[in-house]
Amino acid sequence: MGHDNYISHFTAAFKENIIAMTGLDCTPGEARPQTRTFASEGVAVLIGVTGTRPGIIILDTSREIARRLSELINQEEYSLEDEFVLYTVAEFANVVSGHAISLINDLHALHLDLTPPSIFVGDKLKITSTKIRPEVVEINTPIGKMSLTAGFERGM
Amino acid sequence: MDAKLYAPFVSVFFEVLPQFGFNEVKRGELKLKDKLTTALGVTALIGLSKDVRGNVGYSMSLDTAQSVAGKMMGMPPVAEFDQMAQSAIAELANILTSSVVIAYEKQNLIVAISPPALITGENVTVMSQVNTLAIQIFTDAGLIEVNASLDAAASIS
Repeated sequence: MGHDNYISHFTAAFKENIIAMTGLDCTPGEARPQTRTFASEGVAVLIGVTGTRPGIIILDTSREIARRLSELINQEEYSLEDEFVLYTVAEFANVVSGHAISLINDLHALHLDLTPPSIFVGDKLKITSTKIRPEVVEINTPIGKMSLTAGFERGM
Repeated sequence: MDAKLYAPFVSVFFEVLPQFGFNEVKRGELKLKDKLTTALGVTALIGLSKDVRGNVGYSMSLDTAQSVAGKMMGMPPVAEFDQMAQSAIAELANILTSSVVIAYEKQNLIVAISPPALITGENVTVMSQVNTLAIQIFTDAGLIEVNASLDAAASIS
């Protein structure tokens, strides 16, 4: 939740890793509450958080931006239909989430763990989280906009 | 693929659904897929970590989701798949997966689960990087397809 400022750790991890993996810098926007249901741009990577503060992390972008991100990470050209694009974006989300969760565990003395990523693609894709109140940060990069959503259940 | 990891995803339906007034629960086909895909419009997804890592998606058509949500609330099928109905489907996924976790404890496996996420859309493909077992469960509210994508390598045999 907002008072924990967990989302800032995800934003910092995103910035550090996109620079390291692609050389691109990025400009994260302000964190704001995510709506309970939100429309995906076309590709969504979901990673669950388990442990003392269960939650959900979602990296969302368009298929075209996913393709360009994968090309930069792997230094290869891909078509929009190439499944490797989706696996690359999932791995990027996994690295960012792992980095952020390590920071959160260290700073807040928590024992959070991540579930493997799931990748969703489709038309009119909508994602609803019923048990958490997530926050979202839109991140502008030279290849286009991505969003990072993170939400956690309230602490005990 | 370790059958002991997947078996609880079938048995929990026979334990849980009758508690919500389902009269018919039957297992249909089992199908091994190289990725977690579904053609059905509503999927409730939950992640697993610790001794068994992976994801399980409970997928159904919108019509089935409206019938299941009605049963969860002790009502006829709901007319709209609104916030209340969405919460009912997510809660069913949570109850089923929590029951799987209890079954795993009897196998000395410690597993933690994430909160459910509900995904709706058209032509939705859900992908996971490990093999998926798709299990059809026929109920009086319609077909529920369980897509369990588990990392058997992390299991304790």
